[in-house]
Order: sequence, then C-alpha cells, then structure tokens
Amino acid sequence: MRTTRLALATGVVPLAALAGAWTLHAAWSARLPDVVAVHWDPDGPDRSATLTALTGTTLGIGATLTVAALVAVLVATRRGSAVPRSGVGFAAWLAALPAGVLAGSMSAALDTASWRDAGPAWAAIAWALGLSLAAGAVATLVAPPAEPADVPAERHDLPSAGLRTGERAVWIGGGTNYPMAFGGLVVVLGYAILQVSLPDLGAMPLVLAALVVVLAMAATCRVRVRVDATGVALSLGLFRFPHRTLTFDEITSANTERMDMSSAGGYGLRRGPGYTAFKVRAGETLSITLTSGQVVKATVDDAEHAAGLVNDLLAARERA
Amino acid sequence: MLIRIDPASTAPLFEQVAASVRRALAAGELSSGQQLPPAREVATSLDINVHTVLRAYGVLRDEGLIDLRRRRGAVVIGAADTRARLNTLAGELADEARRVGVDLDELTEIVKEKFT
Repeated sequence: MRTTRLALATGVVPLAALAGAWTLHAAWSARLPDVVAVHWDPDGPDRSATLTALTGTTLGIGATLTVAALVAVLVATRRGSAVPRSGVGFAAWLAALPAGVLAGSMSAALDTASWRDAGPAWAAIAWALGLSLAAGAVATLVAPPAEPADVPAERHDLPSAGLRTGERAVWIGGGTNYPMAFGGLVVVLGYAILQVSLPDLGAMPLVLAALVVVLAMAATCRVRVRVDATGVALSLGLFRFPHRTLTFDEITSANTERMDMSSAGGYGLRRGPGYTAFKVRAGETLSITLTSGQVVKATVDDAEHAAGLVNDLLAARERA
Repeated sequence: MLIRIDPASTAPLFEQVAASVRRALAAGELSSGQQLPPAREVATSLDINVHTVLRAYGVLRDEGLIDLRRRRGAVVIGAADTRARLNTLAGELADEARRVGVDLDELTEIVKEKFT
C-alpha cells in the first residue's frame, strides 16, 4: 500500500499533468498558430518555437523526469530508506513543470495569428507554476507519511560508560573517511598531470572544478564529537563547519547504531524526516534522541563510550 | 577517547588523566599516529587546570607512549598499546605488593626471578 501510494504520487500525478497539457494541446489545436512564443522580455515575446517541437520537448523532459523520480523513489523504498512527502512533492512539481510551461505558452498564443501577438508573460508563468504546483501539492497529499521513528530503548537497555557519582568525564572522538580525505589530493594531482600532458587545455574551468571537489571532500571527510558536562558538540569537516551543540536539556537518550552507505541518502550533513546526520562513512554511529523526537547521528569510532557517557551524564543530572 | 577523573580520589588528577589514556591505549581505542585531544580542550571540559593535563601528557611521553610535537600536539607512537598494557599491569603488581606487604626490593627480586 505504501509503495503503491508512492508510485501514484511520484509517477501517476506528474503523468496526469503531462496528459492534461496534451489534452489542452488537442482541444486548442484549431485556435493555435504553428509557432508560439516561449520567452518574454519586458517589451513582449522575444523567442519562439514551433508548437510541435515545444510539445515534444516539454512532454519528453517531463516524462523522463517522472520515470527518473519514480525509479529513485522505488529503489530508495526497496533499500529501506525513508522517502519524505516533501521530497515526493518536489519531484512531482519538477516533473510537471514542463507540462505547465507548454500549457502557458499555448494559453498565451490562443486565437493569435503570430507568436509576436502572444499574451502577457505573467499569464504564461501563472499557468506554468499553477499546473506544476497543483501537481506537487496533490503528490504530497497522495504520498504516505513518513514512518514513525523506532520506539526508543528503555533507559536500562542503553549503553553506559560506568561513570560514578562525583566523577567528571569527557569523551572526545570522531570518524574519518581517509579515501575521501586523500581523494581531493588525487584530483589535484590528476589535474596537474592533465595540464602537463595537454598544454592546450583550458586551465580555469578545471582549476575551479578541482577546487570545488577538494573543498567538498575536505568539508565532509571528518566528523568530530565532544561529550562533556555541558552537552554534546558535533562538527563536520576540516573546517569544523557546520557544527551543532546539544545541551542536556534537549537530549532524551543516546544509543549506537550502524549506518550503511545509502543511509541518510549519502555523506555529509544530511537532513531527513526525524533525523540530522553528520555522516562521513558507513558503520558505527552515535545516535542521540532529542526531546523533540528528532535524532542526531554522527559516524564516530568508539560510539559506545560516547553514548554511554551521554546517558550517564543525563542520569547524573536527574539525580542532582 | 574517554577521560575520567574523580576529584575526591587520593590519586593526583594528572595521574588519573594519564591512566585514562593508558586504558584507551591498552584497549586498542587509540592507534599509532593518532592525536590525543588538545590539552586545553580536555582541561576545559573536565574543569581542571591545563597544566594538569600537560603534566599527564608529559608522564605518558616519559613512559614512551606518546610523542609531544610542536605543531601536532600529543601523538600516539608505535607499540604504545603494548607499552600501556605493560604499564597498567605493572601498576596493578605494585598495588598488590603494597597490599600484601611486599617491599620494593623484594618485588624487584621477584620480577628479576620471573624475567630470567
């Protein structure tokens, strides 16, 4: 049932929008010129395309986006990943947007002899956004709500670091993705080899691309966590940004879990329904449940001790 | 790495910090080349003086477990895990000798005998 609703929202809803645009095309064909306006500047229409080409292009792009979104959603569901309703709604909106563009261009060209006589741009934009946003809204409603988070474990089932009354403790640790950390250097080295072997190569685009790759890898290759009496501080990357500090007032408990490569949809700072993940690798993960119901995760080594200390410090606060 | 201290304990704070690091090394939680947390950060979190942490790191350096480098801070050196385990066992041996009333000379003789 859940998969059926996802398939309806991601596949059928955008296809219905595309079919609607095609139906409008068929109904208005006698009132439309062969060439229609596709772009407007402040003075009026400034670019055109044949109606046949525009119809084929927009419906083709829309159908391709629909199939891609449908496959992505079904694969994610099969792997057990959560698919947020907002994500389904966005995918449906994006896939229906070409249908809206076609409908907008056609509505502006209704009963005109030439594309230069097309109606105002705002009407075409209203059609494009109206049709696509309606599809996105319907898809959001049709998509099933995110599954509730797992029931938190009882306090006595949670890890403990064995902190005794009166003791103070700090846990400082992290997780590093070494292939990612050194991957940036490999990219730079590859760029240097290309420059030497291909003197005519345009330098700037590759320099920028290499810089972006290096910065992206540096930003996501390491996660660092500190647990002490003030709370839990998490940061990502060599620049320690983004970072987040959790006080014990907002923490319910901590536990460990294992994340696989596709968990949370990838690496880096990931947000999803009910969780925020500081993820740089698969495997051992510290999982902190907040009073809001949200779960903050961090892929750190020795997560058992970190979770244990969080629980012990929470218990000490309750005793005090 | 978990570092814990008990301010009410008779053991000096620097020794308690050093003991936490030794335990982590013996348990294999720290590997060769890995950095220890900055002394200032540990001191702030435990609400103790930074010199206490630096003294603990100094003791660990003297025991051959870590290296103190100007730019990289305290770094675990090779075979530190086995040295740390040996150090922990030696500490337990000394505690047990004191408990049963064996003095240092007698304990040294016992160790020499076992070693040969």
